[in-house]
Amino acid sequence: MLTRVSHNLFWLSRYIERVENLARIMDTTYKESIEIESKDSSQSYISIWKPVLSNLGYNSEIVSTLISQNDATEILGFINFSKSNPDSIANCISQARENARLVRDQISEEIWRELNRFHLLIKSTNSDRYWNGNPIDFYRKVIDLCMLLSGLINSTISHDEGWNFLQTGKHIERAEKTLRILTLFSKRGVNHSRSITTTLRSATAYSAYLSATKGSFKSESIYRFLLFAPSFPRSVRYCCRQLNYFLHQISGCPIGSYSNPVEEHTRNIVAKLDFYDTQISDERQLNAYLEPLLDDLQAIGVQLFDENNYAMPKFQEQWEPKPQQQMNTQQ
Amino acid sequence: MFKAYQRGDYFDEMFGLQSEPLKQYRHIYNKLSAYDSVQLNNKQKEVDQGFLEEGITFTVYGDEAGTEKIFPFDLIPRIIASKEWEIIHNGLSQRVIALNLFLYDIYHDQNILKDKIIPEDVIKASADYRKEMLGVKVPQNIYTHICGTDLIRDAQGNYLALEDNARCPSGVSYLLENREAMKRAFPYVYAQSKVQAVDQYPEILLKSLQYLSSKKDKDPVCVLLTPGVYNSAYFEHTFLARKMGIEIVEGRDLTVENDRVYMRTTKGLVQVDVIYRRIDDQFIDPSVFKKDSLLGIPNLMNAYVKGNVALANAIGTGVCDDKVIYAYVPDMIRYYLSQEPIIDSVPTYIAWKESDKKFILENLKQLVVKSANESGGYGMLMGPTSTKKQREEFKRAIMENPRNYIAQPVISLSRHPTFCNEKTIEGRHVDLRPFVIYGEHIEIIPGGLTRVALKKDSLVVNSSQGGGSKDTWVIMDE
Repeated sequence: MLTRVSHNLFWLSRYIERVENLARIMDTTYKESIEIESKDSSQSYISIWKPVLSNLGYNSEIVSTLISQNDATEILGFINFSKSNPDSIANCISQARENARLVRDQISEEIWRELNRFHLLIKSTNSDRYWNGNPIDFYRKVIDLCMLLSGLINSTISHDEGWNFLQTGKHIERAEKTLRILTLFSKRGVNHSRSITTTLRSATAYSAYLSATKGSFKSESIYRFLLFAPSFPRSVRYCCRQLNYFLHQISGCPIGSYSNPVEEHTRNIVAKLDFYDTQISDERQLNAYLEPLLDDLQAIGVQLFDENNYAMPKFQEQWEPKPQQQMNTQQ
Repeated sequence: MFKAYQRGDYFDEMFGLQSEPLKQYRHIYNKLSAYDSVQLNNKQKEVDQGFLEEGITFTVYGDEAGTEKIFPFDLIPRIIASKEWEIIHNGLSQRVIALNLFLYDIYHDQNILKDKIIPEDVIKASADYRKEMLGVKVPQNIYTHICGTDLIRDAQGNYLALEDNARCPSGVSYLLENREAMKRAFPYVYAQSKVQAVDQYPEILLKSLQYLSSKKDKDPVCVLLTPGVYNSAYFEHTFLARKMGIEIVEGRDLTVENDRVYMRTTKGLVQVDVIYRRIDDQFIDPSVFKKDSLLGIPNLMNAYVKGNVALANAIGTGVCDDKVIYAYVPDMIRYYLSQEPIIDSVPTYIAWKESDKKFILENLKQLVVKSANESGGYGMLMGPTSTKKQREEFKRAIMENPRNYIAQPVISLSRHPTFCNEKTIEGRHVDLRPFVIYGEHIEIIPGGLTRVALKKDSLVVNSSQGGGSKDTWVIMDE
């Protein structure tokens, strides 16, 4: 497979995963924000949206402009459709499609068609006006389409090298988003019951968590579940183990050893998650645990396509990642 | 739907010069007569939506909002009787064989110049004549593996060759997708009409590419080289690569080492044997041609000249697209094959000849003037509809650089019933671009891309200038 193509496949699925997570975080937050808690609605509005927006990586200037309007449509418009926001849902979908266009020979007709339809749905005239009036419907639609694509990726193409790159992109993004949901949780005040529900729903962990813990809503147990649950597909440990697995599928190197820096780095993360999980009971300890993990994941994403580090056959010329993609690795 | 149809003073594809539909059109004529405009319009909308959702689009340059557009498609198919097709097929084969003999000749012994059939200066002055190709042996001595000759019909319905498109002709993906759209829109009519299939094209193309490889024992590695996603024909590039099951590569994916071409893969460098290139000569190797080209592969020409990689089409075929050289194709057929051309060319005046130049300058208003090395409908003067200012500009240009201009009488292209303005069927001018593949044999998939000028009375069928397309059916014999 061409190295350029592997790059495109990685980003294709990473963008789809990003959109799905983004939509779910926005959906749960929006639902929470329409429940008025106190007479001063603007206070609860700010306390709900501000941490979410800064957690998504927007700088304080953008965040204060967005929340100063005291109007959720402003925020929804920015996250959903804004052209100036490189990480808006519309832009991510259009990036996913752009990557898909470059590798149409590698993906099935079904994947291409559904992704293209997704893009057209969001891009069509006045779609922003229509959807911003129905945010809950919009996010449900977006999540459904992302899951459709994920299903098509699973069931319409060969599970070969290209598929392994698709899975790599997906799991890196998923692990990162679960970490972000956790940092958000710690900022939002962990003992608030509504915040607990929002957190679990943001990671589609509500039912899985309840059945695993028999309904114990303790913050530590939520941390532990989202970080370490061995079989929940969005826990950080699960995603990193998957990541490790798919990297080894690509290189052909047996699990347990490593053949390149990316595998080495990933193995370290998995080891951290497997063996150092005991002392997380407060916010400070949590953040001290989460931040290095976020840094590690970001570093792996960059390392993966850096010819100087990657131990796959080296070429004389160096890959320069596209400017836009470079921007999106930094969140 | 045909009650108000005006055949006009043109040769009509459906009616010929009569008022009753020709035999091969009777079936579709009856079918369409039973539709009303709302039904037909709904069909049209469904088909358009399908093209959009499948991403069957072309990129419009310099237009941010609508960067991708569907190529307008008309539902009424062009139908060619099999006898008629046979003549076209033979005529095109003859033409393409002669062109390849000509290309071999001018890059080797140059007999046609020594025998003064074509003036040497004409060849040497052609912008696409590549002296780098002199004496270079190309695989199987074939230069134009894919040729997309444009055919038109005059007022009597005679087919004429308009240009040969011997570089990187595009449009075949639309031909194949148009057929799929027609099968969806009119499955019953299609089945009853006994139409000859076209979906074997990618297979034939792949075989013709593999035929160029020096490796006879194992599967050669063929790739399709695209300028990239921003090229207007990018959809076609991915389409063909996908249908042939070969990699689509950009210049940056390839590298030349020890005069061999390799692609960069996740498992290391893999040698490439055959490149179906959709990049013009000029851009393909910055170390030889345009220095600032970012699309090409440095030193590709070294590997090519040494015979370590095959290119389809060969370098230097553009000389056939020179409109002055076009005028000599009938002479080539006589010279190399000792045959008379089966398909005529459009009579062409060459400004480079003193007597022709005088004629052109005196009759600008009756002629179509074309610059020798432009394509896509650019650099053209349509005499009858031109303004005085335009004619003055061309007059000056011709006097300054007569080698660069030719003129032809205005051919009133044949017309075809076309669904217009979402409600009526009207006559619109059409041409036909069959795709001729020259591999072990010459193969032409039945029909071709029928392009239609959607603007009333317009003669310009190019997609960049308001043209659309139709499915083209070659009907099997009864």
